[in-house]
Amino acid sequence: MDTLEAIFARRSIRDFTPEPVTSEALQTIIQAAIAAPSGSNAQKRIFIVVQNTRRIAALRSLAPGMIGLPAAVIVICLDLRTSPEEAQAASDPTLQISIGAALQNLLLAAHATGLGACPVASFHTQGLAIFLGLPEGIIPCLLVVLGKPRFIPTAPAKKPLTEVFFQERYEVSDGK
Amino acid sequence: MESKHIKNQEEDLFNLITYMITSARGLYDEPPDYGSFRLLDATGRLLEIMSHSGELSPFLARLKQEIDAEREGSMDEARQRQNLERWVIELAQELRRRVETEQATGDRNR
Repeated sequence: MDTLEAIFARRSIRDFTPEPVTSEALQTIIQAAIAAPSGSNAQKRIFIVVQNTRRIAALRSLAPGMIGLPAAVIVICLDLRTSPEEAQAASDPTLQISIGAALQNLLLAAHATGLGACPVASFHTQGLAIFLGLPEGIIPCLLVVLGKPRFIPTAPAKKPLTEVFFQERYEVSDGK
Repeated sequence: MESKHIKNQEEDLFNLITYMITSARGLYDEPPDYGSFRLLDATGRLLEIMSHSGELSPFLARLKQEIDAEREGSMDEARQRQNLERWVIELAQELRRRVETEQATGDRNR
């Protein structure tokens, strides 16, 4: 699939068929996430995949942002075990950006393999860490729900180029 | 078979309780209009559990279908507000019908 085609055709999918996600597709998607850039190539990211339906139902209760029942959930975590000051490291913007880069690769790879996905940010961090058995220093940052789309929603409105794109300097149409 | 069903339902309800408490905590940090959506989502989850344990009445089955569509669509406050307004009116009408039917049956049985 062409990269630009994938970028423009991808949608946030929240409603899935019960069809399971194959391990080949999962490996491709996680490899794509690993391939994303990270500051100093630190790669302080860990991906936990949950596919057991009972565990997904329980996970959904700790993540109010999870609306439907996906076939799989990927929990993207920051691994700060080797960082000297864990609390300080968690607020390092380059780490958050590296999570965002991995997320976008993951979403595009899911789309390219015929799956749908959507990031979920509403969850209880500590509750999730307890449920997943995360050791101290591994922080869940985002969940991604994944599965075969039940339907493809229409594209939401995006801002036009004229509103957000400037060349050389910021200038609005009335000359200010 | 029956005890397995009760166990499954208890697990489903346990998940719902966890969801509601997690949502209540999360809402301190989330946009105010999420509160309305979380309650709507909780209603959808409850209807889901009820549908596992037996057939929903035609009224609740339709409500579940409509709430599921609202939950799964993109967030649109105006549409959600309009739907909630309509559902409250329909629920009030259904509530009245149920109470009056029950009363009429009770009166006949006296």
